[in-house]
Amino acid sequence: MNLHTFHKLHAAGLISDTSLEKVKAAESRRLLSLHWELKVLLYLGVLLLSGGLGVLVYENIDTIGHQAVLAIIALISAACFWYCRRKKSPFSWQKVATPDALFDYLLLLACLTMVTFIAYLQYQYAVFGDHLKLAGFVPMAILFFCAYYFDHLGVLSLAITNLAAWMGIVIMPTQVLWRNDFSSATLIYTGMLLGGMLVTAGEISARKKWKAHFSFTYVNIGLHVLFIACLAGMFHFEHRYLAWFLVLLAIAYYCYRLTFRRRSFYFVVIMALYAYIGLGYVVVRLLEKIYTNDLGPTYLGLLYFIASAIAMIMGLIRFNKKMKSHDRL
Amino acid sequence: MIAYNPAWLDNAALQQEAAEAHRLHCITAGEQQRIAAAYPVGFYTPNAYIRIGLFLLTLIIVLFSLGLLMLVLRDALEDAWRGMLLFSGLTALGALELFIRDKKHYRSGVDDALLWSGAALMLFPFWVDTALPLWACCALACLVALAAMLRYTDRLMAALAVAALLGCLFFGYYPLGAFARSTAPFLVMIGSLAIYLLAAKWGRAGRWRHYAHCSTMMEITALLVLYAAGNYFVVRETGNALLGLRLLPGQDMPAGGFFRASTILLPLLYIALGIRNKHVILLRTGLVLLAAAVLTIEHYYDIASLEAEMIIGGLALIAIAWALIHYLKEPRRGFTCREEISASRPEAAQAESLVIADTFPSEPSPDPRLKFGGGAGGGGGAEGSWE
Repeated sequence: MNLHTFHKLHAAGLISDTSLEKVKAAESRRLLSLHWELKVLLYLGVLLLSGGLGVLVYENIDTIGHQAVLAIIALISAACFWYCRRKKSPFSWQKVATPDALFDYLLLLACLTMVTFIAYLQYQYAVFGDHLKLAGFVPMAILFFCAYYFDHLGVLSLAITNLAAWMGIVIMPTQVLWRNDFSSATLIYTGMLLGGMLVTAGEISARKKWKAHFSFTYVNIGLHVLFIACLAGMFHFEHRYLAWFLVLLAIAYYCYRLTFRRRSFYFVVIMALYAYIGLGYVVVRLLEKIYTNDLGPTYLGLLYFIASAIAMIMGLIRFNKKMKSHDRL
Repeated sequence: MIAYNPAWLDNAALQQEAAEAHRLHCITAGEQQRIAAAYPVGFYTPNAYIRIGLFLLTLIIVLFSLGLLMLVLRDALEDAWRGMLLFSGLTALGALELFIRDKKHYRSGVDDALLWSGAALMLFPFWVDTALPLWACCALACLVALAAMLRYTDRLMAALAVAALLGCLFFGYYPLGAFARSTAPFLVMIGSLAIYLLAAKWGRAGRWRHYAHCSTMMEITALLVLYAAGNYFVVRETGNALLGLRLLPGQDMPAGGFFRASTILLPLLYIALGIRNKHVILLRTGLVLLAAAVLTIEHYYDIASLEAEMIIGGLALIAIAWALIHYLKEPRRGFTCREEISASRPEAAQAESLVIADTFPSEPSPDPRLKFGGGAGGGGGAEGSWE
């Protein structure tokens, strides 16, 4: 805080003497926080360590050393879990504050090594026999349990991506568009199901106050999965795209209501962008039906995209101004 | 010179200070409201999400308008494309001026998109398929970026101006002779240092207070280029590619010792200066460049197998973080490991959890050789079919 500014405000009579004193005291006590730098260090450390351990396991899979490696991984996982169990605050359905960043990332390391360990057990000793779905289910269930027991958003996100992978979909943000086989109808329906499940979980979590701060993560990921699956459905089912478009509009409406309920502009923006893509596709398909030899429909199409983008911008700005003047969104 | 209303810029900064003071419980809500009323801001500056949405939509409009224009003029495209792009760029900047003057946009996504696309459209004809020497292209880019930064206080333009200026220096200097070729990295290092010191001084001047963010960006860019010019890998590869050095792998380059030293020592110097002067920019830049230094060493020296390096590196990082957190449990020497109350945001936790979900694989085996469990997806249960 700039002391000079506050002296000026004080001279103008806008803040009291006590306020000025408080500002001066706070500024003299000002500390440089290394919190996020430390988090990045921990994140990179866990990334390297878990990655290195994973490679180590599979490099040594058929050698004498693999039992030793297995033991080491189990030991690391157990040690981290033990540390976290000792440090954690008592369980509650409300938000439980984390002791520090070290706790967060050691818990993450524990969960990652646990997943590697179970996967290795299944591969080497076929612990789950032929029930491969079970082999995927157990780590996922443990991850969900840990997320709730230790109140960790990162582990929850891991659990959700594991759930998606178990159902056959890759939902990691940077890979969702190119690692999924969008030409498969099964994938699209599974996506809709997964999205629906996640959004429902988020709603229940918020209403029943079962770790209500988890609900944003559920709803956020669920909405994106729903929208992408819906758009994929529109693109894939060539003759029934209008039906899928109606579904998209329904999801968009839900998203719009969410903006008010959660008092966040985030939802209206993603709704606007996805609806824009969907509507654009519908218009392109309709324009395709006009059979001419010249470029008329192409011009119309370009004009449509420009005009609709302008309309969307004006709509967003108007919405933003209205919300700001009514409530404090 | 600035397109935005300077009085409102000052008032916006003041309101931000007041908001932070309120968050730290130093002033009351009533006082904050009185301050807001006394120093009004008439800008339209939306929420961050809306800003991203408006940015994307404006880019779409610019792209599709350009497409429409190109379609209409497609017969004249062969000869006239440079003029057309220049014209489009100027139109975008004209629209930007209108939005700022009439609709009072400020950091609304619309002005960002129009500025960047306008500048890109204006520079594109001179950079692509051109007879202009590279230093002239860089000089032009520097002038455009500098003008844009001065008029619109845009940070990206500030960074671009610094990069273009140093590029102009480099590309103009090294063709001058053999001596020039061998001293080019040193010139760039000196140039970057000069820009860093000037930018730091400029940012502190009261008269240029609206450009404080820009000067910060210029400092960061100068620090990064300074390091790049002293990095062993960069100098060696640039030397091979541009300066006529033909080095075999394993063969050392002239002044190799100096560059090996600077590769490792510069980030450490940044970190040390950052800690001593409590300068966050130096500290963070130093940390990032330390990672670059490690990667550079790893590239040239095969110390151990990949998994051993990863495991040792991971353990080392966790250990360092552990030690620091332990050391800083109570604030020492003005540092703390706790999060700043005024800076904490719920979105940061959400973003962190998404980064975690994104970078840590949901399937435990990343190894493609492994038909893990017989699954088609190569992961624990990640198959393509749903039974």
